[in-house]
Order: sequence, then C-alpha cells, then structure tokens
Amino acid sequence: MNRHEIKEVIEKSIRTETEYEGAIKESMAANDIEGWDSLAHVRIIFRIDHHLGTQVDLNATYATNTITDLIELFVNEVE
Amino acid sequence: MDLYPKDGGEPIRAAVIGTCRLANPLNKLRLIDNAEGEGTKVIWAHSGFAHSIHDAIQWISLIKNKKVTPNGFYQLIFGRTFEESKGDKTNEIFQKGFELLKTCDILLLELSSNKRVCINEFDFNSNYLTNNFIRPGGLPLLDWWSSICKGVKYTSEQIKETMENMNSLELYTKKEIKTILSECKVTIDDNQALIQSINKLSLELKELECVIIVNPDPAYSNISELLTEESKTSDGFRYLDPNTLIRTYDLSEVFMGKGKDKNHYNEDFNIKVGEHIRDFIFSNNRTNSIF
Repeated sequence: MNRHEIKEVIEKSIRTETEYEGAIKESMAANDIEGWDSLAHVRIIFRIDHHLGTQVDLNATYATNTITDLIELFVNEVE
Repeated sequence: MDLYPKDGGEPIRAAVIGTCRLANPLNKLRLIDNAEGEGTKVIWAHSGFAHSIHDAIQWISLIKNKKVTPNGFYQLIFGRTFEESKGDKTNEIFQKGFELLKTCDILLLELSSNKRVCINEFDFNSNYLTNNFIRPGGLPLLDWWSSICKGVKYTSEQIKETMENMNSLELYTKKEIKTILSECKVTIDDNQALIQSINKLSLELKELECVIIVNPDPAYSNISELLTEESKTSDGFRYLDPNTLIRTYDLSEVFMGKGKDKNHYNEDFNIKVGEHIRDFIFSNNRTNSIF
C-alpha cells in the first residue's frame, strides 16, 4: 500500500468518525477538524488500523501534530 | 500519600485521584531529600486511573464499599481483570483504603475530561473500554462505539448482529457483552453539571479540603477557566492550573514526543510538576491559574 492509499484511508476514517465534511489538508491538526476530540481520536486510529491491518501504539499517535505526521506514522507501520 | 513540605515539617496526607499526570510527578518527589528524608510516601494505592469527576465519585463509592463491581467490569474500571486485581479480596483491600481515607487531610483530584462513559450505575474508563473491549472485539464493536459516541443507541436487532459478528472476548460473558452494548452511553457535562458533581464529591468527603488540578492541554482551557472562577468565588475547593508552571518552559521540555504529546509529561519534567503541586498545597493560595 503506497502513501497515497494510506492517506485516503486516514481521510476516510477521519470523516467517518467526525462527520466532518470540509476540506482536509495534510497540514491540519485535530483541533482544525470539528468533532475530532479525545474519544474520536481513538476511534479514528482503530478504524485506520482495521483498514490497514496494523495495530499502532496509541501513545505514538498522541505525539503527532498534523495529518502529515499521522500519515508518516502509518506509512512506517505498514512498511 | 504523605506529602512533605520543602523545608521539613509536618506532612499533609492526601487522597489522590487522577492519571499519570498526577501520579508520576508526585512519585518523583520521593527522590527528594528533605528534613524527613523523603518528599512523599505512598501508603495505599490501587490500579486504575480516573478522568472525570464521575470516575472520582465512583472511586470514593468503591472504597467505601457502596458499590460492588461485577467481575466482568474489573478490566473496564481498574484496567486489570478480576484475577489480576485479586477480586476475591476487593472488600478487604478497599476496607483498608477506606480506613486510610479517614486519616487524610486533603483530596487531590485531577480532572482531565468532562465526558462520562457509563452503564447503569457504573462509570467506565474510556481508555480501558476501548483498549480492552472495543479494540479486541474488532470492527463490529468499533461501529457500535462510534454510534454510541454520536448519541445513537443500537436496536436489539443491531446488538444481536454485532454479537454474532464480533471477535470472541473470553473475559466477558455473553450477558455482560449484551448489557454493555445495550446500556452504555456517553454524555458530556456542561459547566453547571460539573460544578454540581464537584459539590457532590465535596459533600461526600466534607472533612477533606479539595484541591483540583486539570489536564494542561489547551483543549481543557474552558474547564480551567470555569474552575478558576469557581475557586475564587466559592470555598468549595482550591484550584491549580498546571499551565502556571508549563508556560515558563519550551513545550519540548515539558511533554513527550518533542512537546507534541500533551497527555504525558517528559520523564525529567515530572519532578518540576511534583514540586509545583506540593508548593501549592502547602501555600495559602486558593487559586493559581493563568486565567
């Protein structure tokens, strides 16, 4: 799975869990997306995990600021 | 926990309820030498951390043996199974905790969420629920949890279908799973509800002075602002905002993940937070906040 496909999974998971309909840019952070609170964060990560077949350490995801950071985290996990 | 003042003298005995943001800094004080030879002494502890005021109220009820935890809920409340928690000795363990609670001077309470995850009279720790129940249960449970968090309960038919398709969870009986799926709900406290719950806890422990601290993440600034005002205008509790310390440092020094992980203090920074909390407790200040 390449970076673009992983990014698509992440965006789709964010939309499913937050019901956010606006544009999602890689530079955005959780605070920029309405509905992305602490409970939604965990659900987003679990949903990405399910689609990518990964099991990321949740603590590692708390050290990501932007969606770019999140993409890179999962790119490394998939590799 | 006994907390010793910086320059020696009589300790203050604190009942501490919160997360690692409170436990780790206070535990670091044990490494400090003072006139008594130690900064803190843990005299009783139990596994499980608390996010919300409802978690805290539940802890007091549990210690007072007013609530009996069903075996299948241990992992969702304490983070450990019935066996790991030595559940058959719960009454004795909590009785000892209750005897010590009666000797405490203060209740030191961390609030890091205004969200409540509960089922009937039991409050679940959301981290434990997601890690120990939802994640191992697979996609059907994640879909159920998404729906619950959005305020939509599952129908009987949806619950039946979820139970048929989810991964097997050996630690829970079918009855417990069905109860969780049908009764669990997530609510968010507004300001009034939060203050009412704090007052309820204060009444429950009216012999203890209540000292509240919050999660330093800016996402909790509304709660911090509310508690600042409330602590100034009522004598129900004292309030410490950890940002009064944090704002004087670069975030990369304060938090893990080069400052990005606002949920965990850097190992080396814990001691500074511990000293800040201790100094506030031994001061005469009612409020120390950036607001």
